[in-house]
Amino acid sequence: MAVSTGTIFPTPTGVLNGFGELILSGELPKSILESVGRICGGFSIAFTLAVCSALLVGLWHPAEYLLDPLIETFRPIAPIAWIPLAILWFGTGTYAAIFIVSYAVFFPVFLNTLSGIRAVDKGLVNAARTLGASPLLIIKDVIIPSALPSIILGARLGMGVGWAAIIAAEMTVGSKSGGGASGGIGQMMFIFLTYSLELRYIIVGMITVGVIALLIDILFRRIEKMLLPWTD
Amino acid sequence: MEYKNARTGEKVRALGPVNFDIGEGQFVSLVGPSGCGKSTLLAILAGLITPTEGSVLLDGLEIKGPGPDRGVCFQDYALFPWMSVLQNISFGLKARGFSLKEREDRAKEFIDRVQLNGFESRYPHELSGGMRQRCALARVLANDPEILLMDEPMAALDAQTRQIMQDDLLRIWSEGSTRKTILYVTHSIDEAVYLSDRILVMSSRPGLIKADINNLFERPRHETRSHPDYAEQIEQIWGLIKNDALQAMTNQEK
Repeated sequence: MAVSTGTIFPTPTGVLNGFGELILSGELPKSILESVGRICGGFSIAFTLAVCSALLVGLWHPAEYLLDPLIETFRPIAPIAWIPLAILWFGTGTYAAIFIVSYAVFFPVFLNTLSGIRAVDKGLVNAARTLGASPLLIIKDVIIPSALPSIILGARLGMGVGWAAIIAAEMTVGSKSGGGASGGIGQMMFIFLTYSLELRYIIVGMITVGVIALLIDILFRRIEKMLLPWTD
Repeated sequence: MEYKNARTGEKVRALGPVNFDIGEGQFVSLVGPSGCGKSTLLAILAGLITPTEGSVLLDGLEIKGPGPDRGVCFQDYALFPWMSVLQNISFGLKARGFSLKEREDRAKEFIDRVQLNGFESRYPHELSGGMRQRCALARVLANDPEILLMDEPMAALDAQTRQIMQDDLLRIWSEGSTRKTILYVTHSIDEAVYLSDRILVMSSRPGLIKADINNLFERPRHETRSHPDYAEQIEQIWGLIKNDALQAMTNQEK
């Protein structure tokens, strides 16, 4: 047997040591920074696009007829299904990963924002109109604040699927690039699988993904509390 | 103000031709059986509903949509949940382009008038029903409308709060430099008689102004409810509505 049981079935202490080793070598911090950076980039792009298109679809009927069917057609196509095209278009590096993340984040943000906009209390819009508010002020001071809880929910869900997508993307992109170049937690995990079969390190990667996702969600809840003092 | 020849409603013609004048500074109530279209009439005047036929004239000008010259108080108050009391009250001024300083000064003046001092930074969900109602009233008054359109503003309040709010409303109304013209929709005849100078009685299907009654009682009216003629005036108006109201009830039961 070439592989020891310690490798295939890593022990808790082995994983714990793995954390120490990967942090000391700088591999884990570097991968985390890389993945988090991509997540931030992809999330920002997708969030902006999704909120804008949801506003357009929710408030302007022609956009509803044009954009909605288009978006609904793309929605069932999983983010990882785009990986071959993403690699061809953007190479095996950061841009391909950002594309995949953006694609994944877009839908939950779009759908939740749209449902938030559609659920706006007509009575409040009417009240604003009778007080003399312009359509622009109504969007800014009535519709967006009213949809904000849904937008934040969409952002939280989007962040979740974004993480799922980036690990998948980095693993696949990593297999294509043959290791090395593009980085990220997903690729780090892939390299340990194909080149050294250090399962402890792969588990370190998995735990890292979970912990960071949790931290980001806590951050989002903080932001939610801060932005929505009027709920509860 | 004229309101003529308007017919609305998709399936049922809710309103027949209606035409009435309200003198400046007058407090006019609109009572009628449920479903007679009194709220529809108010929404048309507010510019929130476009009549299918006819036109609405306010001071000779046609109403083409909502505008700050007609302030509306809604039954559910329609306060913005994400805005503090101060922000709610200054919203109309913001919409009309006043500077932040002007907005807050004026809003504070009206917070004083409706006695919400100390609650400036509270959110609507932290207020009682009566306080929400006063906040909504201040929001409309701060905008200095020519006429106040009130759609059963006290229907959601409990009986005791309502009685207190009625006196508050009369106090706030009479305190201003100039009394606002008020058109007040209510299903309560007692409320109409207690509050207003004039009572318009509507009939249902289609809604028409059936009677235009001048209130007998002098202000202030704190003692009015115990006056022997009070019950008589209510009875007289009830007599006008009763048949329609019974009709409405049986229609609902069907």
